[in-house]
Amino acid sequence: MEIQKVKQKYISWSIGLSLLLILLVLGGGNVSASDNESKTLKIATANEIKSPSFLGDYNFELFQTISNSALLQMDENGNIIANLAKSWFASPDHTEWTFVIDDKYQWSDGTPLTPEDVAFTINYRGQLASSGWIGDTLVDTTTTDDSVTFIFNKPYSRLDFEFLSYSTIPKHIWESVSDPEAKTSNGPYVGCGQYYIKSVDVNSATLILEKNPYWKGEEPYYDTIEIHWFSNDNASSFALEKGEVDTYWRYASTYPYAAVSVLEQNNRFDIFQAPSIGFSFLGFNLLKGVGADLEFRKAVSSAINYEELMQITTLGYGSIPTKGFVPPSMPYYQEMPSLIYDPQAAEDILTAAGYIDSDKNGIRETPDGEELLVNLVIRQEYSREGKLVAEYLRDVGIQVNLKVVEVNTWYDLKDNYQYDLTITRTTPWGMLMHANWGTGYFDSRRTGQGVLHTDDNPAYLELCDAILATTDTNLLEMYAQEIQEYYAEYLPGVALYWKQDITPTNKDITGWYSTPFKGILNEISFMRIHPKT
Amino acid sequence: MAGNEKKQQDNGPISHMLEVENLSVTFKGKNGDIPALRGIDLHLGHNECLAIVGESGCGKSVIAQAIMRLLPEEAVLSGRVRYNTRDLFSETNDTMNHIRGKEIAMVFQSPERALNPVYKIGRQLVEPMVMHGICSRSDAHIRAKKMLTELGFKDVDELMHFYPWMCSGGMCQRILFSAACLLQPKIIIADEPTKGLDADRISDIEHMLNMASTEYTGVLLITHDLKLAQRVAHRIMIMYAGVIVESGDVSQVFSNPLHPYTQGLIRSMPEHGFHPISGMSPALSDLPSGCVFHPRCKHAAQDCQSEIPKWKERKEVDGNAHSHMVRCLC
Amino acid sequence: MMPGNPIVHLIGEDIMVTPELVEELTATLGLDKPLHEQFLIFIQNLAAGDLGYSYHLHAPVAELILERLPWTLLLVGTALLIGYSIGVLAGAYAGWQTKQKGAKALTFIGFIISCTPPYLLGLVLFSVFVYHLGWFPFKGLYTTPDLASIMWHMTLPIATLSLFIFARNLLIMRGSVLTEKHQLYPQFARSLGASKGFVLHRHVMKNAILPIITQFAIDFGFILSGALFIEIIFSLNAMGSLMYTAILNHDYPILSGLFLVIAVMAIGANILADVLYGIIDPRIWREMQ
Repeated sequence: MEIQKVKQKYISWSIGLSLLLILLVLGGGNVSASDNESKTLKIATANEIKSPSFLGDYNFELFQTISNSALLQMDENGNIIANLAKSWFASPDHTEWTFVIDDKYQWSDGTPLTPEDVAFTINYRGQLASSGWIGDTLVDTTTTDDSVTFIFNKPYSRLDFEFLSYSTIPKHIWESVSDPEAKTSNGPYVGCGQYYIKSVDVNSATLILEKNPYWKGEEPYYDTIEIHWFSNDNASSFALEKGEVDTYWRYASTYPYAAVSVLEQNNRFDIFQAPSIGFSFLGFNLLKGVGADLEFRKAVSSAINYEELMQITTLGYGSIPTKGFVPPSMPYYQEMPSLIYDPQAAEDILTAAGYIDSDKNGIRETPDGEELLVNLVIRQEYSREGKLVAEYLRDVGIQVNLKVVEVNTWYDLKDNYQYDLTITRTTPWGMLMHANWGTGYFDSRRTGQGVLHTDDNPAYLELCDAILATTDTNLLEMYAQEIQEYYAEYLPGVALYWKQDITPTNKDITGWYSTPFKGILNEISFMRIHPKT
Repeated sequence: MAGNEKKQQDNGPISHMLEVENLSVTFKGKNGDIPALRGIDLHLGHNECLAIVGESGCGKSVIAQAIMRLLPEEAVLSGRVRYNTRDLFSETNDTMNHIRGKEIAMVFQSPERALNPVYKIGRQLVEPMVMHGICSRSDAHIRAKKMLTELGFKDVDELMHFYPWMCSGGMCQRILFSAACLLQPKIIIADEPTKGLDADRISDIEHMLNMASTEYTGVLLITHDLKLAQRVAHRIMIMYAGVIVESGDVSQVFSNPLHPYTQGLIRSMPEHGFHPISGMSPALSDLPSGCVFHPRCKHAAQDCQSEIPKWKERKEVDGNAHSHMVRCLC
Repeated sequence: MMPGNPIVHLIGEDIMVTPELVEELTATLGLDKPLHEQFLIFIQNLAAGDLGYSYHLHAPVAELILERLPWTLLLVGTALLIGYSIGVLAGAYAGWQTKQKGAKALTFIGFIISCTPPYLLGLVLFSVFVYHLGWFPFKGLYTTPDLASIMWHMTLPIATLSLFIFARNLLIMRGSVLTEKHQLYPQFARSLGASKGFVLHRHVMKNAILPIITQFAIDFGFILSGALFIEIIFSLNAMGSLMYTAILNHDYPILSGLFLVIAVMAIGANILADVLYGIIDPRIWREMQ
């Protein structure tokens, strides 16, 4: 019958196609198996490279740390140390900065690296939006055969810090490129560190670094470093657990806490813990409303259940902060009084300050007789902290209106001071920038997307300026202490918890080195890591 | 042209084409079983038209579907259906597929809905012939057009390319008949062929039925239209609530109805005064005991309530071919 | 008209911006022109094949879309093909032979899959086939850009997406066939001697497939977002991720370009569906008579 024949043909075609498919699928797997001959280190990350633009893609620049070495780097204590520049100094008025170039660093295509390249790099970056300040203030650049000097039209006491993140680019390649951010290429890119970027492929989600044959320093162990990025954390955790990658790194962040216990059971990993200088904090509107009242801020700082909040958000990989705001891993850390959960004390302070619940409805009134209602405006990613904080405040008679807004709305409201409380986070860069020790967040003169610019207290601003005017470490240590004492006394912001950044590493590999700025992805780490045996 | 003028041979029981013995059909349901047919006996000979007449819902169509084995899975069948030498209930599905259409064909009620709305008429006529391997596709095309012309259609070429919804009910009915006749079956079962049709169309159907029973072999006509049965059929069986209550030659049954129900039916015809039978036929799920008609029977006696009447034969004096049977205690 | 200042996105967090810089960039991008002028410029560019430029990804929008479009077509197109064909056949069977064990099992599977959140099911499949069994890779469209590698990488994502499409189509087709099989014409066809299988494939299918065609047109409107969860689970750099990132970054040029692509596809699919409907169901032409 007609139908029977059609059926048979259909069935045999299906079987034939399925077999072909299976063969190809399995074959593809074998062909793609990696070459075990070379010594390869594999790193999983959540920082996805969206476009192979060397100067345009934010995450791409992160991985240039070990291929296009910046002038300086940071050590594990947060101190700035030599890198491409083996030494550096500034003029007394901090307008002229000189960097002496270490000749260990050579371009991977054989071209000699000269101070001209550094001069070129910094001037070139003056054209880019993200480093436009250079274009505005750099007036002249001079070179000798082993150094380069930058001359600015205003003093920069912390130029060394600003130059930490600028990867050095070869002049002979980039001088002919007219639109730097638009230049895309899958590699190879000429590098000057121990490695250079061999290839980057957004389709295979891989970035590969190879040993720089012209590097004159100590040879690192690994020939190849592969960076693999994943769009979701489950996949990267699986890859790590299965041994497909040797470690997990994420800029200014940690391995997901919830996934750590699996690794501990897995027994193939060392769990590296480093105190983070990134954390979430509660910010106040210091300019108007109840946030301007110091007593209110003190009460709030006693009303928060720090232990519970820390446990929930860090799953125990954290600690209760102090009033000093600045975490222990920062340079010149001072132990300030710890933040304590004492709701009774909070209530007493509020009552003494005139916030009394006269109509006994559970909500206090301000001295003007209005209900004590505060607007807590946050972004989506802080909803957990937001809900908990709102609860704690309500328990002591403060009514909280929790507003969760999308990021651009948050920027608007924050910049226009249309909130009483907010919750946001610090990043390592954010804590270090401006006058260091988190001043970038509070100094009312410093604007930016992630900062609150709420503190216009003259004492605070003078302190910031003093820090910016000196490079004398003794003075800086004194100022650091003063800043932390200021935070403890005036509470412009209350840290909600301090946390550890977790980095799991393959047990068989040793020599890891972690810095507050870049975690384990730093030049020193890659010089030192090697298998244990 | 009255049915009683038709002449047929008395072929006797052995040469009956179709024989149904003690057919019972019960539908199994969640709320209980429904005994749709109970103890149906019938036979159909060559060149014969047998009419099964009864009210809607008495189970007439179920007989047709039972014979064709087109009932749903929840139907439980018992009894025997013999077609020539085959026992239809024991045949495989494949064999039944061969028998359906080619040997026994059925013409449905609601002809517009019996045709597939997305296929052209031509295709629906040609397809069954090709499927049964009767002739080639091109031959089938020619035959189809010829059949349509015979049935009175003009512009047959155009009609072949029409879709069913482009045709009226009457047209569809004739097309349905064509589809069945083109397969040259030995038996045609016509299920309510004149339902909802007006007088003109009814006479068309009559013509087709007559043609069928003379040119083809047998016609089983299922209808509620007594007049049609009288004009077209040779024999008639009266059905009520799942059982046959009377059976015999058309002339006999009409001139001398034995069963009170038959009498009531005839009296309810327009020409006899339009007297309806009082009461309603029972739901098949809730049948009365004993004789199924007794609640509406004028002549009901005490025994009628408890005893299920058996067939009684009434011998005819004027030598008619078939016996006149009735299920009644009277 | 969308919230947020796109200039601020170019620059990023934590970086100091001078007002002069913001002004300069606004002028360069033409964002200071009145809206209707901006729209006019867009249409003019469109005619010239210029869909605009994305400052986040530093490339012309047309180029970005064309780079990723083939991957999305591969992923979604293949999944649609497999999901539709197997789903329709399985659904027809399930609706036709409702009492059989196979039909019941299929229906059950269809329901379970349709009720499971896609991301969860995707992760489960990832966990089983990639992590536990190790049959497929952890991420990426390929390891090396050759056919074997691509097939190895794309098989599981396509299979996962197909599974959802299959389950949904199975249920739709099953419902449709269930309705059709109680019509009179299948019974008539059977009475003429057609086997059950013949009636299903030659008579019922054509009628029952109409809702599937409608569904097909709808699917094309969601072609990008529909595959997004697959792209996230398997780390695939295709159009769904492009759209998602563009939304988060308020990358207007990319969004306009993508919306155009979606609009074209949706319109195309609808036209195709209308045409197919006209071919399959001639009752559509009734109005024309």
